Amino acid sequence: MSNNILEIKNLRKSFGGLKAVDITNLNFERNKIISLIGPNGAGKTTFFDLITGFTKQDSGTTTFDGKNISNLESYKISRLGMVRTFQLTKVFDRMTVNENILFSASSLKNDRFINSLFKSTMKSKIEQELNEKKNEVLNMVNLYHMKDSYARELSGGQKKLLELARVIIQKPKILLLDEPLAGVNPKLSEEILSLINTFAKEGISILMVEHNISAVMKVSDHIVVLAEGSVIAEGSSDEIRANEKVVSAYLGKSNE
Amino acid sequence: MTDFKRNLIGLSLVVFSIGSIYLLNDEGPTRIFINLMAFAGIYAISAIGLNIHFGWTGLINFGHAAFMGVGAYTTILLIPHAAGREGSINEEGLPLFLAILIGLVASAIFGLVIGLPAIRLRGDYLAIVTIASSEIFRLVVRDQEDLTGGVYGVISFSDVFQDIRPKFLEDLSLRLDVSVGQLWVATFSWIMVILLVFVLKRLQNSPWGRALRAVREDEDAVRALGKNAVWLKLQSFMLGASIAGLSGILLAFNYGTLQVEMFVPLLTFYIWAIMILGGVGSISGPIFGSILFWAFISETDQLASLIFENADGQQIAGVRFMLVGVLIIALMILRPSGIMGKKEELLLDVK
Repeated sequence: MSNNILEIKNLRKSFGGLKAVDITNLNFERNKIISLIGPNGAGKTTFFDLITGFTKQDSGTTTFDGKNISNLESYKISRLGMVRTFQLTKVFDRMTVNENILFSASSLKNDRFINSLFKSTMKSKIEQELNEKKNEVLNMVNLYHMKDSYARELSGGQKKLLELARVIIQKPKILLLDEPLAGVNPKLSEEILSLINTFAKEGISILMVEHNISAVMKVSDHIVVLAEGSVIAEGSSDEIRANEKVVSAYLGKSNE
Repeated sequence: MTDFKRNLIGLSLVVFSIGSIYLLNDEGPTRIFINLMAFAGIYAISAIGLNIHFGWTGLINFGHAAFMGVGAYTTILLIPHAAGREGSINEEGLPLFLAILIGLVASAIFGLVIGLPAIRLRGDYLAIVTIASSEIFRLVVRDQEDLTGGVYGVISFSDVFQDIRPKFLEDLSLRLDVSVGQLWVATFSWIMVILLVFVLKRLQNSPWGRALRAVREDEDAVRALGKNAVWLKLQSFMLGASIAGLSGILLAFNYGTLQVEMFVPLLTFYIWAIMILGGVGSISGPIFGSILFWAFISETDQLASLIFENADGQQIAGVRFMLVGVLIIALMILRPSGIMGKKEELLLDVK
């Protein structure tokens, strides 16, 4: 199997006359933390939407773990092991923290209507096992004390943590994080970064969009810079910092 | 607020409204009471179905009357009946319970057919499609006179249902001085309500119920976590439609006649009122809501006579609309989560 978890070829998407994404060739290595940076409107989120099937692409081939996933429906892509979060945190507000995570962890078979009607209840063996797994994850993100609260009662930062807990319980092959540090205080940012590092050590490839440059430079093994829908540079943090094009398009002089 | 406190409030409201029937009516209060319970039970079933759509899954369905209608017409036309202007009698028919089963399946299929194109749409669009479909259903039924009896409706179908009536109800009806037919419809409806409560309690606390709630909260997140939101919504739509079908069948047996005008959009909005009154998302809510709603309705006559000297039917109907409106406004201000709803799961935020 190729060493690339994700291979993208000729991915294109326009909205009306606006070319949102136009990527000729982009590969992501396995078991790395890779960051996607670029100015606002560079097409980072659209890129996420395209490869996860949330937006229909105009053309292109996306190969995930050796499998062609272009034009596959979003939930099927997620089942293959490519799971994403959203820029605006999407927790299930009127469900408890517990339910948020259990829903994510529950298998399709366990969710089935017939199964729910005749066999499985919240006290079934499967649910007990899920419950243990859930408690582990909750402890990992320090939300155990909030487990019975409704998600709407959490702070913005806690919602980010809940969202992380909810995706990580699925043990994805690759995790796509859309601005995991947006609107989070510095201390919690560090916590989230160390969580991301832990995930990476467990063998989960990470691809994240983030504007917090110092954090990006610190954790990333590899950085890809997007501007106006295309890749303008990629490389290690030192290479990116030294790249003239990136400095003028995104980083600005003060970051030199 | 605890469950206990909620139940207490609900129960005392029910006792109060039923008590007021006995206080306000000198003649035949029991007859009025049984009539009320029959309608309350039937509407409660329908509201339970709507609650699965809106309360559990967040689907805005404004065509609930059509789901009731499809169930009713399918079942009634499959059992012995007389339809149309000449009242041509059809004595052949399927056994009652088989016909009911087919009616429920028909409602579910109708839900699927409407749902397939519409359910990918977000909230408001589904609302428009459902209200349009329910009107299309009503107009088609009215025009297909050969099959459905058209504006002349269907009659003489109640016998098979009354044949399975337990014998002790006859003595009871004599003692209470009420119609035995309606007593049986009321009893049967409330047995169905209790059965549904047991099944739905189980479903609500099941992984499937949890998945529906997740769809209600955020479809994108559901898809991002690898679950098929469209299929979950369709399942919810079919289950709710089928429960509405049961309600429609019982409504036909309660009236003893099947008229297409029974399934006007107003019926849908009555069911919505009941669901909101009782508490969106809760299981017992629609039941309490339905009893209260019908207590209000059956006491409108008295209220109307306070306003008009000799209230005619139209004036009473007007007062009735006003009452329902005032009731919902008052509730939205005083208790937006309804009688049995949890504040934390409030769906209708009027802030």
